[in-house]
Amino acid sequence: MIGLNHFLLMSAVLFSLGMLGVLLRRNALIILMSVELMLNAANLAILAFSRFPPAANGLMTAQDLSVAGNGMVLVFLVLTVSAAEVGVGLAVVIHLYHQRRTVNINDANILQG
Amino acid sequence: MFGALFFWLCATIAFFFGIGVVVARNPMHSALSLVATLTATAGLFLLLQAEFIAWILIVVYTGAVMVLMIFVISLLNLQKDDPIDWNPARRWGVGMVVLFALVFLVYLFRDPLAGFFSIPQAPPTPPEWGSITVVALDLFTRYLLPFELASVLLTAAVIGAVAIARPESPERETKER
Repeated sequence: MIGLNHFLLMSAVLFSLGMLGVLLRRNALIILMSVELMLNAANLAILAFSRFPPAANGLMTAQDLSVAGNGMVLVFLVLTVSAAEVGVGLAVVIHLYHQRRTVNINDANILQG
Repeated sequence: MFGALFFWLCATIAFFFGIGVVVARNPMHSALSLVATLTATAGLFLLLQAEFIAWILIVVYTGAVMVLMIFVISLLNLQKDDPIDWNPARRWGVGMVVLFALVFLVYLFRDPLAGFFSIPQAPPTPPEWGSITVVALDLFTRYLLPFELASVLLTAAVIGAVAIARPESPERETKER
């Protein structure tokens, strides 16, 4: 039987992988992709909590269920925001490449004092 | 039974391709691994009965966003090896993350029968749960303001992306002509 904890564990694993990617890789594109992985893990956690609300003892009213279903609206908005983030992020990467001929973020130290 | 099988299938795919995203040398392989991970996650969303969100994830993410990502990778022609950077600060960061994950796992599994596997049953849902009708009803009534704000955000992001990615110093271009 698959329950809330399975989904939360999967979410935590995916989030850790994304975090490792951000910490380990120096390629700006791969860092962007790792951020996507983390956002996706967060979405998975939100949807899991929306499907398994805290008062899930068989005493759910229709009202409770409709409130829990609002998690999907939140995920929808998160997806919108992350799409916007990818657009701007890729623009920044392209600009960086035009300026420095590299996407390695260790070479992007223009603002360093 | 089928649900459990489907969950472990999707979870395994998502996990191994997630590792692929992080360790692949070639950014293109990373991007394709991310496509596989996102598709597997969409399977998990389906299992949570969030149908609409699952299809949106496939259409918007593996469809649009990843194509954009792959397009940029091809445009920049990044074929060179990009090895993992193991300087001391980074080693510390990775150590912290792994330690954190281990503590979390030990906490989860410390008392398997009582803690992890005695799971609250998912409440029975009405048949239209997670369908586009229900999500849209919430989105266009109760959450109309966030929805409109999201559209403003997308417009701002498009304008910002064009402004940032434009070639450097347009004056020089006009001089050359």
